[in-house]
This record gives sequence, structure tokens and C-alpha cells, in this order.
Amino acid sequence: MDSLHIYSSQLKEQYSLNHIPYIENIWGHRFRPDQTPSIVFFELLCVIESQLQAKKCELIEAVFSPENDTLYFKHQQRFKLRILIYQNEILETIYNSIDTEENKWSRQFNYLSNIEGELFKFNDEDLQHIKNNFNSFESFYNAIKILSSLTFDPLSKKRWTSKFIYPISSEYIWCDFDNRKVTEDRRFFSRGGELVYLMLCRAKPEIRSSLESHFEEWMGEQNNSFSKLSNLLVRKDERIKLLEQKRKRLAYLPYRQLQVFDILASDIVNVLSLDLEKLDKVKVMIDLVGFHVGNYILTIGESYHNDNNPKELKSPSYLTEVLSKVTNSIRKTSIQSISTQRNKLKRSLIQRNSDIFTLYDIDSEDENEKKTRLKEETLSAETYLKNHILNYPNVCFREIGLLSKKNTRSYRYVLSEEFLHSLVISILGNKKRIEFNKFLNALRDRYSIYVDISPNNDYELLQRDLNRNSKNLASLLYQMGMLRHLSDACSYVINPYREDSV
Amino acid sequence: MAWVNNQWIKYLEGYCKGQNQIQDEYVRKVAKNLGLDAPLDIDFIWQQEIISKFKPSENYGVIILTGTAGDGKTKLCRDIVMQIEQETFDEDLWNAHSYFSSNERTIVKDFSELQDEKSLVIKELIDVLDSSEILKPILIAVNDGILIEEIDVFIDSSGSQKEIDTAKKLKEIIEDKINLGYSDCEQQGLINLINLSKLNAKDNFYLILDSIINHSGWNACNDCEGKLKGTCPIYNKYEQLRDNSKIRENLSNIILLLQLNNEHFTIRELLNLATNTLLASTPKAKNLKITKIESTSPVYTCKRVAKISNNPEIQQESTIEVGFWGMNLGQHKMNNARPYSEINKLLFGELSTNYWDNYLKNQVEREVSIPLDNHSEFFDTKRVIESDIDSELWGAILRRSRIQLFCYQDNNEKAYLLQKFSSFGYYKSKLYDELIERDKCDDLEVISVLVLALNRVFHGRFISENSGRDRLYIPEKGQGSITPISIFHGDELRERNIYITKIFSDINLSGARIEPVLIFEIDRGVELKLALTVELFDFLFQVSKGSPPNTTNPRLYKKLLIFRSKLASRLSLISRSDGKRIETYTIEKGDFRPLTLKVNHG
Repeated sequence: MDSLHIYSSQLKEQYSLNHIPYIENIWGHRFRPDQTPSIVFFELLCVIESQLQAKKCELIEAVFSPENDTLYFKHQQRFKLRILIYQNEILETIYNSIDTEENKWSRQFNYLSNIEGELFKFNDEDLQHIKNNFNSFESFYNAIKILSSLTFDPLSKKRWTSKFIYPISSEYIWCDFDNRKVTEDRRFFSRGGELVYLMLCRAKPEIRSSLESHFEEWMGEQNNSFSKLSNLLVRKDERIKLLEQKRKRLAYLPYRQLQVFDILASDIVNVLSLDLEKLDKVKVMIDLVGFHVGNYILTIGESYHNDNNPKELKSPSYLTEVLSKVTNSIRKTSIQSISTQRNKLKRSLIQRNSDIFTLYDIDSEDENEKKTRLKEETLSAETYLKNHILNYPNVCFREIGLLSKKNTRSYRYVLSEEFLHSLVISILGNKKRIEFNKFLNALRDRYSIYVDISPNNDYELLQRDLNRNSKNLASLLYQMGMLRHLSDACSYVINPYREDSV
Repeated sequence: MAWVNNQWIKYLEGYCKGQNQIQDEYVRKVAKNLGLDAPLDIDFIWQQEIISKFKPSENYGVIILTGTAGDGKTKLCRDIVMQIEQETFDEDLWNAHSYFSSNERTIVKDFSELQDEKSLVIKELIDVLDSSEILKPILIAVNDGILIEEIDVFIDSSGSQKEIDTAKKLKEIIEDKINLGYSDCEQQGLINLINLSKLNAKDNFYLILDSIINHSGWNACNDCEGKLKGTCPIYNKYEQLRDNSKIRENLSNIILLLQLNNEHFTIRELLNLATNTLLASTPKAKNLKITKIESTSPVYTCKRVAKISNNPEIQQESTIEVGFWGMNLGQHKMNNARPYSEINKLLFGELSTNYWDNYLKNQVEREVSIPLDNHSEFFDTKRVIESDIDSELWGAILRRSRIQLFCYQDNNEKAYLLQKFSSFGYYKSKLYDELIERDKCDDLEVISVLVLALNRVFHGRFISENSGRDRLYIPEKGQGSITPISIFHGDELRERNIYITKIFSDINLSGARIEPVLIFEIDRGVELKLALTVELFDFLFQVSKGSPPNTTNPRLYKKLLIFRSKLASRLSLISRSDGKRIETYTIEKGDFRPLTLKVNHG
């Protein structure tokens, strides 16, 4: 397989890090459990938006190109909009007070203009902009309330600079930020989104060009009420082009070309090309990104656990239960399969350990010192694997709804309604319907999700359980309004967005 | 006096056992072996209507008879061919082959049984579409889906692009028709499809019960001791069903309710249900028994009844509801084997209301006697405690009493409150009965209930009854189906643009089922359809009365949010929104006016 290994010293220089763990030469730099698939997607959109700016300034030829490895613009920050939505503590009090309209505005403006920090403080032009656009304080209040209702994960206790609105237009795409250190933060935007961006950049050319046109449209000028609302509240941010020496290198993805990148990219293109509302597309894309990131990590484990240089990728299989009340052979085997997949990740590290070590520049001729270094690096890599990589597929699959502990103590693959909804949309695309058996085939072929047959002969699965599982899937789809049961021999999975009737 | 062994009962038992084996040829053979002059021959009007379309001299075009296994396709096909061929009809030849093709006509008795001929049949259909001309009549009986599967195989193996294109068109027409009941594709008129799964199971069940009850086979019971002494549970149930048409009506209405929730019952299942209702022995599960009688077999026959008839409790235990709800088959089959599994999903007897519980208690107020009457001492709380009543017995008495009260009552509207979809009575009288008579139901009361509920679902707010009944406010495109609260108003549909109609299929038969569908007329010729099942109606009805949509039925709620998104998308394509859009919240001038829809707080 093709690989892009870069020597450790270059990596250190590139990312200003003191220590690059081995492991990042296997899975990339880097995935962290705090970055859930939704945040990966938000970061991805930030990167794409910045690259679009770079394309406009002719700094890059295409947004999705295998050559792209640098960020030329700072991510969008939109602090003032975020302050109005998340840090405007006084808004509710003012709105409910019996003050005159004039006093209300004055108290609000006074608060906004006294916020600490150059980046956050509202200046006279900002305040005038608001005043010009809103006839009454109530309208201003309503506008902010409307936007806050679109907040992703509204109950989370994250700091205000780590909160996001569903990115339905470019106005609502912004970066994670540490407001105390006044710097972009890597806790939530830990480069998972950059890795996904690089995966998209390394997909087949025809898919990349479709991605480009779809995202250009997505980020382009919008004439919907949400866009208008943002522009009424705050002035447009000036995009900050980075000086040449301050340009940031994107994440490090160690493979030049993998089939999983093509599948991810074509799935995203499919969703973007659907005749669906943007918000619905966002939900499906988050699920697909989550699935493909988890799948990528496990695919590498599956391919490298017993082979240093595999000829082709081996895809992991997901023996998936459709939630049933009683335990069965599928549940037990699925739990075992997760443990096996984790072990394969560990073995991949051991398998590739010495190979990767040769990539590092060790300034010493002393064999003992080299051995000590190798030992130290291995230990460090094992710790990193344990803390960050081993659990990351679970983080992804759990959030999208492919993994659950329901009725058990251990995780197993379980199809939730939410993820099933996304799979139906992704597999059916703009089609009105598909036969149930073909849908099952598509789940297997495209996502390695096995419901009705065993992924391999080693598993001791009862045919009765598999039949029941398939029946449960049909029944779940039926309850979701996505299956039309015509007879015992014939059912159709229907696309609720395209079919005439629910 | 002696017990008579009636062959007719033996014949009916055949329908109860191994329902998969009940096939046209088999049934005729059994009747012959039992020496019955007239086997059960149900005179379905729709069957006659279909047969009458096949006159020997006429070219009736392409007709595909489709449906689930057990719908009676083969029998219907045989009757049609018998009519066409008349005295030349050869029974043995018919039984031996499935494909009959000549220059005059092509008839396929069972498409799934064909081997190499499958592609010939598909080729014939493709020729019809290619030439837009039907040179000879073609009749094909086939299960749902199998024809589609074969068309796919045909497409994969064909080398001609033209052939593949036409095969795809054919597939789309057939898929549309079996899924939706209609197709908007070009040339769809050339391919007629009669889907027997779309027949009215309620009417069929009523007719089956009628045919069984009015069969001359019962005459053989005339001299039987069981009949004369009134100790035969089979005959007693027969008499009850014969003399009380309301019982038949009430049972049929349960089938109707399920059918209106998109449940289909085949003729084979209905025959099984009807015969089990008559022949069922006693409940198998302890929690449904009101006596201590044990039965060795799930169904009674004359011989078995003769052995146990001395026990007077048998009349209490072996009643109509036992067979209809499949209690004699055991808990597992009640919950997993069709048609009983579907009937039991309605939770009959487990739910109740004060109205019905008062009825249960006050024997004087009702005409119907129920198991509870024999256990009235249980009402005295003290005695219940003292007697330490078995909770399973108490549960069985209550459940069976409620079900019996439902079965035997005389069209009491409130009876429907005893089941899961409690608004069914309202639905039936206001909407379904209307659609039997007319093509359209635009009852203002019903529509305004639906519009109010949809406004509440679409907007995620408790829209006031005064502002949300006369028009449907549709959110602006872009808000998708994941935000519960829609903020920006896109357009609106007046009450007069929303109405209920039914789906019309290719050939309108008198036995065709009525499938109510809610139409949203967006523009001339542009409409969106929403199948109005009882479940959906019940949900909307509850929401209109104040229930929160997201917790009342989260799945239906999600479906409606998807529909909202679809409606908003479709509306945005129509130019009338330009310049005419009424925004509940105007934001161009920064002025918000949430005036049109008033929200109830608290």
C-alpha cells in the first residue's frame, strides 16, 4: 500500500510538537476522544470554508486537491455573533424589565461595549449596525433566541467559545477557541476534521470535483432567513489571511490513497446532491463522517495486524444487532467482535513498530541508546493507543448510533433509529424505494454492516437469530415509516423524502 | 339422542390447521374425500366483477393479478380461464401446467413456478410497451415482488439497451402500482394491475363468516344431542354468530381498524380466523382462563365435544372471543402468529375507561352477560382480600369480560375506547363511512382538527385553537426535519386546499379497500399526499386535544417532521412565494411580528 511516511524530525517541525508518537504514523495526526463526529464535521467545514477563501485568492487551485496541505486563512471566528448568543447574560433581564425601549438598548449596548478583550468588545460601528437593523428591542431579543434554538447540543456545559450552531450556512461556521489564552484551541478541534478533509482531498478526481462544486454552493451567498438574521445582528467578519511564515500545515494523514477515502467522499457527494434540506443533510453527513472515521481506524487495524505491507485493505465487519429484548448469538458474537477489533489495533502497533522506528532520526550510533529510545517510544505509543485510538471508533460509533450497551455490560453493534435513518437516506439517495433484500445487500457491501448473515464462518451464529434480526430490522423500519410490507416475500424500504406518502 | 359426527365441522377444521397448506386444489380434494356436496364457496363480489371482465371474445389487455400468497390468485385465475374456455376447460391440464400461451392469449397460473418461460413472459410485456399495442390478452398471476425480481434478472442478462430501458420502465410501473396503487409513469395504462392485497379484508371477513354460517352443512347437526341440549360449544357459537349480526359487525370492524393501519389479511388468514372463532376450544394460557378446564386440543371437533360436554363450565370458557383472539393457541402464537398477532396488538381488554368499567359492574344496565356476572362477589373489596383471589383469575375475568362486552354490544360508539386507537369510532363515522359514499371528505370539523394538530407539530408550539384551525402554516424551506421548532414561516395552505380522499387503483372493484389519504393541494396539479391511517389520525386527534406531539408518539412525530420538510421544499419550488410570502416573523426590517399564530403559554 502506498504510504506517505515523513521523517519524525519533519513532523516535529511541521506541527511544532516535541514528540510525535509512533502511532500517528499509523492512523494520522490526530484523533482525540473529545472530538466527537459532530465536532469533526464542524472542523471539516471550517477547513473547507478557509480553503474556499484561499481558492478565491488563487492561493490554491482547488479546494479538494491531494497537494493541499496548508491553511492560508485563519478559521472564521464570528465572536460577536457568539457573544450575542451565548455570552449575553444580561439580555433576559433587560427584556423582562419594565424599562423604556431607549433604556433597554442603552443597557444592552453598555454591556456589549464593556466586554473585555479586543476580539470580543463591540465597537460603535457594531452597535450602530444592530440599532439600524432592529426597530424594537423585542425583535432583537427574538432574533437571538431563534439562533440559540439552533445550537448543537444546547445542554452541554462547554465554554461559550466551544459551542456551535448547526452549520447550515457559512455565517454559522466558526472555530473552537480558548478565550482565556486567546488562541485557537485543539481540545475539540483536535485535527480530526483536518484528517477527514485530507481524506476527501485524496479521493478520486471525479469525486473531488463534485465535492468542490457542492461545497461551493453550500458556502455561497444564501438568501434564507437564517443568513439574513446573522447579517442583521453582526457585521461580516473580515477574513484574516495568514502571513506566509505563519501559515499552518494541515494534519498528517499517512496514506496517499485508500479505498475508504473514495467511499467516504462519494457518500458525502451523494448526500450533498440530494434534494433535502440543509439541516437534514448535516445530520446525515455527521453520521457518515462518524462511521467512516471509525471504520478507517479499524480498517487499518484489520489490514496491518498481521502484515507489515498488505497488498489490499481488509474491511472490518460489523455484526449488528437490531435491538431485541432477549440475548442471542448475535449479541454475544458482536461483543466478541469488538474485543477482537481492539486487539487487532494493538497488534498493528506491535507489527509496525520497528518499521516506523526507522523513520525517526536518532542522532546516535550507540545501539543500546537506540534500543532504549525504541523502548521509550513504544511505551509512549502504547499509552497513546490506549488513551486515544483504541476507544475512538467506539466514540464515533456511539455518537452516531451504531454502538450501544443497552441491556448489556459491554458494547456491541446495535442499529439505532437515528443511524438507520441516515443509512436509508444514504443508500436510497434520490430513489423512491428499494427492495428490502437489496437494502440488506447494500448495508453489507457498502458499510460492512451484517444483519441477516454471518460476516465469516468463524462466528457461531444461529440461523434462527439471524432471521429474527432481519425481521426486527424490517419491523423497525416499518415503525419508522420507512418500509412498506407487501407480502411475506416482498418488502420495500422507502425514502420518506421522495415517496408520495408516509 | 346421540352425538352426530358432522363432516362439515371436520371440513372446517382443515382451515384451522396448518393454514399454509390451504390451497384451492387441496380444499376441493378434502371436500370430495369427506363426501361434502358443496365445499365452502364464498361468493366474493369482486371476484365476479373481475371474472366478468374476461369475456372469451374480448381483448382485455394485460392484467397482472398480484397479491400475497393466500390471497386467492390461483383460484381466481382458474375461474377466469374456466369462464373463457367453458366446456373445453381441462382440469387435469390446468393442474399440471402453469404457463398457457397461444396466438390467442397468454395465461400464467403461477409465475413463480415458471422456469425458462419467465423471460418469455417479461419479453411479451416489454413488446406491449414498445409497440404501445396489445395484440392478445395476457393474464399473469404472480406474488408481489417476484415479478420485480425477475425483471431485475432480465435487465442484468439482457444485451440490448433498448430492451433494458423498456424493462426498467415496466419495472417502475409495476413497482409504483404494487406500492402505491397507482403510477404516474407514461404508458402505465397499458399494464393493468389488480392487487388482491388491496381488497377490503373487513368485507371479506364478513362474507366468509356469512358463508360459513349459512352453509347447508350445519343441517347435519339438527338431530345432534349437543344442539338439542345446548351443550355443544361449537353449535352455541354458531347460533350466536348467526342470530347476532352485531357480533359479526363488531369483529369485522376490528379487521377494518387493522386494515386502515395498512395491515393486510389474506383470504387464507381470514378463513383461518373465522373457523378458529367457531371451533376454538379453551384458552391455553392460565392468565386467560376463567375456569379450570384444560383442553387437549386447540380446536374442538364433534368427537372431542361429545367427550367433554358434561362439564357445564365449558360454555363459559369456550366463547367467541377465545377463537377470534387466538387464546386457544397459546400466548406465543397470540403474539407471533398472524392474524392473531395483529389483533392482539390492539390490546383489547387490557385497556378500559370509566364508562366501560361502570358497565362491567352494573349488570342491570346492560343486556350482555359477561364472565364477571358469575364472580360479582369480587367487587366487595373485603371479600377479595379475605378470599385471597388469584390475581391471574381476576385479570382473566376482567379482560375476558371487557372483550365480550365489546364483541356483543350493539354498535356503541364508546366501545372503541376499549382499544389502542380510541378515536377509531370518530374516524369511522366522520371519515371512513363518508369515503364509502363519496370520493372526497371535506368535513370542516375533521379538517380543522387535523390542521390544528399539524400546526402544533410543524411549529413545535402549543398553537391556540383560535388561530391554528383555518390554515396550515408551513415553515420556510431550510429548517429540515430535525429542528422541533420551526421559526420562519414560508407559506400557508388554506383549509379548502386540504381534503381527504381515497387512493384509486386501476380497476375499481366493489370489494376494493378504502385507503384514506390526506391531500395538500399546493398549486394546480401539484399536491402532496399523506396516508391517513387510524394510528396517524389518533395521534393528530390527541395532539389537537393538547397532547405533546413529541412524547405522544415519537416515531409518528418524526415522520411528520420529515413530511414538513418535504412540504416546505415543494412549496419553495412554486413561484407564488415570490413577493407574496407572508412571514409570521418579518425580519427584513428587523421587525418581528408573531401575530398570526398565537401561542398558548402555560
